[in-house]
Amino acid sequence: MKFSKKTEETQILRWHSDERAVLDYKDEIRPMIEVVPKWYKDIKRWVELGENDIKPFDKSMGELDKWPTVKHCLPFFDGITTGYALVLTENIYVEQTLNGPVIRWQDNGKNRIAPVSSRPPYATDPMPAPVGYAKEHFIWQKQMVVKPPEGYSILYTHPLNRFDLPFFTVSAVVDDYIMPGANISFYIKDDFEGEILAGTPVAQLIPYKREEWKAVKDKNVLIESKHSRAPMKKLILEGWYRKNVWKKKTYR
Amino acid sequence: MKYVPKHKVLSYESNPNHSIFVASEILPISETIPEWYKLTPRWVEVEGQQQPGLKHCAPFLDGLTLGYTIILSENIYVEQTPDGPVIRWKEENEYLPPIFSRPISTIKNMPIPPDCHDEYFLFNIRLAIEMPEGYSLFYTHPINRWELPFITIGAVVDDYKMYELVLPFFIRKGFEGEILAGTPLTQIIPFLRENWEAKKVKGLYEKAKLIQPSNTVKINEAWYKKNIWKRKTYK
Repeated sequence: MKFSKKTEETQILRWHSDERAVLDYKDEIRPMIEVVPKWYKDIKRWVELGENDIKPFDKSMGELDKWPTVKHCLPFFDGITTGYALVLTENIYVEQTLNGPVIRWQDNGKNRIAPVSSRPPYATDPMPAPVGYAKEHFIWQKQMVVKPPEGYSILYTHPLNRFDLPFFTVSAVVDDYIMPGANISFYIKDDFEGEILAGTPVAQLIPYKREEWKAVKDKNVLIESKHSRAPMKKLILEGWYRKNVWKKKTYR
Repeated sequence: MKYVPKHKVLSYESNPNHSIFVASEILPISETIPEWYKLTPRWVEVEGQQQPGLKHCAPFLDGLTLGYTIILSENIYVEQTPDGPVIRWKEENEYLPPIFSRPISTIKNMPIPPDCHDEYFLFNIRLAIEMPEGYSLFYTHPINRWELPFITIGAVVDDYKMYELVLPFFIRKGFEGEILAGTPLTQIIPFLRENWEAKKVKGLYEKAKLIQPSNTVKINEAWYKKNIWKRKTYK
């Protein structure tokens, strides 16, 4: 019998924090899968329909008296679990004042750079602030370094579909170098007052290989894809996408 | 000899019955850079001092221009009614409406974007997309495009010949008016699927600090752009 060793290569995302900056939370970078929100876990797979709700209908399965929820949608789950989370390493406190939100943190007596700073909103005019968030332009001052392999970049974005978080982080792409410190802009939700806890994901990091891309109109794609399309019954009731298309993604 | 193209190909085809769908075109998202970005100054005066403006930040522009987008191919109209927002388009098609909604109970517990109606809309996009084997597509609301009167939900789709897609979105409260043809609905970022491991490397932060130039050099001499930044091509 021949022993075949799996030789799939693993890409390494190297990182480290300035230890003076890290207070309550040691691992500033964590796989997104470890910060899946409770609201997602609480979603049921099916919901009963109300009297006035439209019933889902498909030729292959007839009329259903319940709807599949977002828990049936693997692309949604993959979205919230792809890549890594950059997390808060200490609790911060947001207070609403007449001049807008003010953010406070504990002074631990160490000579360190503050975890948050701000910029006047006119520094980025006429860029609009997200609707539902204060115009004040804050910055996560992350005292840490993230280094992707050569030929790779990292997309830094607000944690996908995490509208429950009391802030919104601005997105950007950083190319491959050992960047000491990351200044990431964010906005505070209107009227939010309270603590944002250590461990909260402030950004989703998606490392990816840089490649040249071309989008091409191809006359065969529609007909070929039509053949590989699954009926609704298989898609919803039999987990067709999971069984036939979905691939496991590993971010450890 | 076999020709191997240097670039990766994202193949797509719109449904020939184009007119009944309000979105069926893929474009490099760099073709939809918003007017407000073009208007941002390179330098701004902050407390009497010249400071670099948003245009100095290459990572921000890379975010705005990364990958592709699906655009609206005709104007649609949003009307606010006592029962919530209603969306209208040119040609009625009851069998395959280009925009439809699902009961909000299907996303019960999922937080709604701030200042959006809890009506759960979906674009019905009849666009077949094929990506190279081993790749996935990351869909997200167009990056940093908060002025848009809707918020699109994000997802990751793996490699298969996808016949059609539905794109969930929420409408801004109070928004009434036209959303114009050419508006980007989503940002699509193709990426190679690979196994990843995050490794804490002691001493990396100190090493990085040694090679980093001073803030003055970084800003005034466009250090990042000249030394780090790489061109990204999405045609």
